[in-house]
Amino acid sequence: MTQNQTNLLQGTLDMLILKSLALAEMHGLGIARRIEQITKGTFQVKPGSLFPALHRMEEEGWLTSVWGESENNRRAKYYKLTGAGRRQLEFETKRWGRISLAIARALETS
Amino acid sequence: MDLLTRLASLSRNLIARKRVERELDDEVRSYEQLLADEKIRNGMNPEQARRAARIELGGIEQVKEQARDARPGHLLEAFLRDLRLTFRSLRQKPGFTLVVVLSLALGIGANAAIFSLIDAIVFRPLPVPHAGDLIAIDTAASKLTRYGGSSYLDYIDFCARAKSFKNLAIAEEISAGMSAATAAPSSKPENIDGYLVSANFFSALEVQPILGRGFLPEEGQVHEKYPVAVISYSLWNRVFAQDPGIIGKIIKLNGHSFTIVGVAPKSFTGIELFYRPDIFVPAAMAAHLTVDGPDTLKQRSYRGFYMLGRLHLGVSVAQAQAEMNVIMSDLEKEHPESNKDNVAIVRNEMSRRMELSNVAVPAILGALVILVLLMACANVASLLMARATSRIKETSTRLALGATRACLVRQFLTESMVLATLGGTAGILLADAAIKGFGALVPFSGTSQGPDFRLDLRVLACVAIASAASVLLFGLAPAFMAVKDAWNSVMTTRSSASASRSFSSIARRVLIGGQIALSVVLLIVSGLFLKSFTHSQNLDFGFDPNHLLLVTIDPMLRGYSNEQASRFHEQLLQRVGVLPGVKSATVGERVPFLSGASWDISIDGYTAPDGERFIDTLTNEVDPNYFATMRIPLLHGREFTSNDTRKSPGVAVVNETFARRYVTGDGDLSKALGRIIRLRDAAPIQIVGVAKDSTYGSIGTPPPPVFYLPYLQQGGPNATLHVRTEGDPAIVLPAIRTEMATLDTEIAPISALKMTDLISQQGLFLPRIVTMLGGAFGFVAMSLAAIGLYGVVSFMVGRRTQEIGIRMMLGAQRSEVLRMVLVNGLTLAAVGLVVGVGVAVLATPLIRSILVGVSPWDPAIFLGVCLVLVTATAVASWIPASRATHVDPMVALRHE
Repeated sequence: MTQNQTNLLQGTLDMLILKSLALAEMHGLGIARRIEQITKGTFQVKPGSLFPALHRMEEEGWLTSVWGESENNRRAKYYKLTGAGRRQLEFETKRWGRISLAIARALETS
Repeated sequence: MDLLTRLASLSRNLIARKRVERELDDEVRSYEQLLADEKIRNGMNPEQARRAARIELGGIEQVKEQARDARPGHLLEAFLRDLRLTFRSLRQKPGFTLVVVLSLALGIGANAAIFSLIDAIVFRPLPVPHAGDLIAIDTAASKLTRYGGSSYLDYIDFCARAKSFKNLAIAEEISAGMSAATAAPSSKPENIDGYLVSANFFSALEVQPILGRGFLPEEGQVHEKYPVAVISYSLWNRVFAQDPGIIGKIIKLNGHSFTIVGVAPKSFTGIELFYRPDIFVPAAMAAHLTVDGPDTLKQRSYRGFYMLGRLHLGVSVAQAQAEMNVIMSDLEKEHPESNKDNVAIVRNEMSRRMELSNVAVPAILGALVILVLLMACANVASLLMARATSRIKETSTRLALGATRACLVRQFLTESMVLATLGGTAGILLADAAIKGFGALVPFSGTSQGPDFRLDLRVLACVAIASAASVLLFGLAPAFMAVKDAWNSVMTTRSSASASRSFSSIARRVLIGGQIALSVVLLIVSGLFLKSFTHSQNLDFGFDPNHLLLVTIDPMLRGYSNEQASRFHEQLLQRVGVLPGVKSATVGERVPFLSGASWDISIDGYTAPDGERFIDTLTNEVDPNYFATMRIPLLHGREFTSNDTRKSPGVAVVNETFARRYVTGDGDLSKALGRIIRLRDAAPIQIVGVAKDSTYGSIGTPPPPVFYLPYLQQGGPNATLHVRTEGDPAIVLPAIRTEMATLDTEIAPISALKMTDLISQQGLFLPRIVTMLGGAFGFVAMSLAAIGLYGVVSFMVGRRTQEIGIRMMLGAQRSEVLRMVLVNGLTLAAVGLVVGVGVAVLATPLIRSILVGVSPWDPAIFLGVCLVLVTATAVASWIPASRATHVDPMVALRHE
């Protein structure tokens, strides 16, 4: 609904979260570490941004959550993409492609 | 996200808040543990790992708060939290809360009440669909007036000739004795008000009866053939208990049987603000119901019908006026004897009403009451500011603890919103009580006549807007100021006392000074009203109102003819005249203040400046002995005698103004004797007497020209017995009733009233209301200003407690401290007073027109108001000042 107004940075974080959940369900810290890993450490996600984003995206219906056991037997909340979340990821990916292309071109022109 | 999901999550977040909160807490804590585990795996010892994890997390509560903010409903949640906080803090300061709520209640309540009053008197639209499109057409007897009814025959011609109108309808007020006969056998006969109407009355007004029908065309065409009636909802409810089978039943009006064919809807209360008819009868039935009988429909000079209509689409009022001008001049040529000089005036119904009513009084009341609202708002603003300033410490603490500025402003706004809601609610209750009070003050209250006061939806909407505006205006400014001040004091760690010279404190002083000025203006205005009112009660009316009893009888209700009615009155007069306690008795058709019938007449040898022959003057038909009984001195000539009858030559007595304006100019008044005046029927009437001027119509206006005709010669069946008594007029009333019963066992007086009561009830009705309200406003305004001043001074004393303590330690005397504080308050009062007097001097001439016998610059009032205000402000500053002198220096020094 407000997808087009989502600002670039927030949109980027959303996209990265969606992307990191695309393959498997994960808990919060797992998502943060996964993002660090896939962006080669460019993005360091702080809990102060991560939790609001996760909760907002869950309210949007892109994610669902379930309580589970972590690898070392800690109770943790696992997040998983929904159908809407996959569609959103697709949408964000396309949009990002357009934007980065446009910016790259803009920077190439002298 | 669709609406359903949104609502679901909203309700989850609000209703299952505890569970959601617990999960959030669990989640953040589990994150912290996972983080610590990770660090342990990377080789930290558990102690270090937990510490590092906590630092990286950045505070559990902050993270949770940020997550909460991402959820829908967090605003509502925050609002509820603000609301709880507000109620808690308002309960802690009951005095502050009470004063703010009371100020707002007075301001808003007074406005709701006054605007309801003004609405009921002038602005309420008629209760018909598309009331704004209604056009009123007056037929004035001459170009000198803009008002006048139409004759039935003229109306028929208008309908046939005027192409501008989609429809035209007429109505004439009637009063009839109704017995419900078979329709409601148990009900008592009563006198009801109604309308004679054209057959298209309901269809033209677009009013659909809720039962039965309106009138059929033939019911309006054939005279005295269709005795049918439509009754009002109120009559249907009151007398017929909402009988669903009422249609077709018979009632008796003045002894004639009428069939009920319809019931008007509840909303339809007629086409005049001050007249709510209970019965509607086709004008064709006039013979049974009016004084003038069949003449009502047959004489063009009988102009008793009020005409309303609607224009065709696209036709303007000006076009309709142009067409009516042509029709009127044609009618003048065709019927010169009755239509000479007649003009039609076409106006929108509402504009006519505004032209007709004296808008000065409503305008002044409206202006005064808006001043009261302004003062109330100023009070609230200054109190809120004082409160905000005194809470700088609290506010800066909250800022330091991480509250955002938006969050604080929101909290302040919530507080003003709660106060405004409380004030608005209290205001509406107050207004409702005030309106019921007006209702009780109104003459004719509880009958079908007089203004109908009620709090209506439009006024309620205005109150809502006033409350909302007061929130925004008077909550936002102090909120921003307080947050700014608090921010400064956080940044500079200065003590809060430094804020006393801040903008908000200057603003408060300006507000209080302005309030004092406004209350000076209001007090002076209400003082002038009061003096004018006292004055008008002692006015010389030109007759002696004391020990004068008025008994009004309408023998028409018994089906009497004109002759029978006159005979009844004469017999009654003879019997009453000899009763013990009665000095003299007479009959007059009209009573000063109650009704002023105007007739157009011509005077031989007089032509109006614009060449017209007919002039519009007030008239009264009176019996012999009238002038003696009323104690109106006759300047020249004679009173009427019992020899002035229908068989003898016409005679008239005129008042001084009449004689001077139309006959003698400034010359010898006795020259008026012997001059001839003529009514429309042109029979000569000789002036035989000149009486001194006396009041007719409203009090305080110059006496109008009046001519008197002998009741025995020209009178109709309606008349009022004027009885001059030796003592209290009420004592002789039972004896008069007995005499009446002897003459006719069933006749009952319509009303019996002392002249003095009549004057105070009706003649002084408007001045009385204006005076009472003006006085109330003045008092409220002064109280508000005094409360405001008290607040400012005690606030300042509170601020300077430390300084005062030091001064007293250094040897300052109590009297010096007292003087210092008093001077501070009184300087403010003095500035306000000077400004107020200045404004009053400029403003009071505006109300000159409604002041009776008082100069708008009455020195006694001005001086008195200044004294009252100085006293009030002195008390308001003295209380906190004397408190300051009792400050214990040691306590004061520790005071922060």
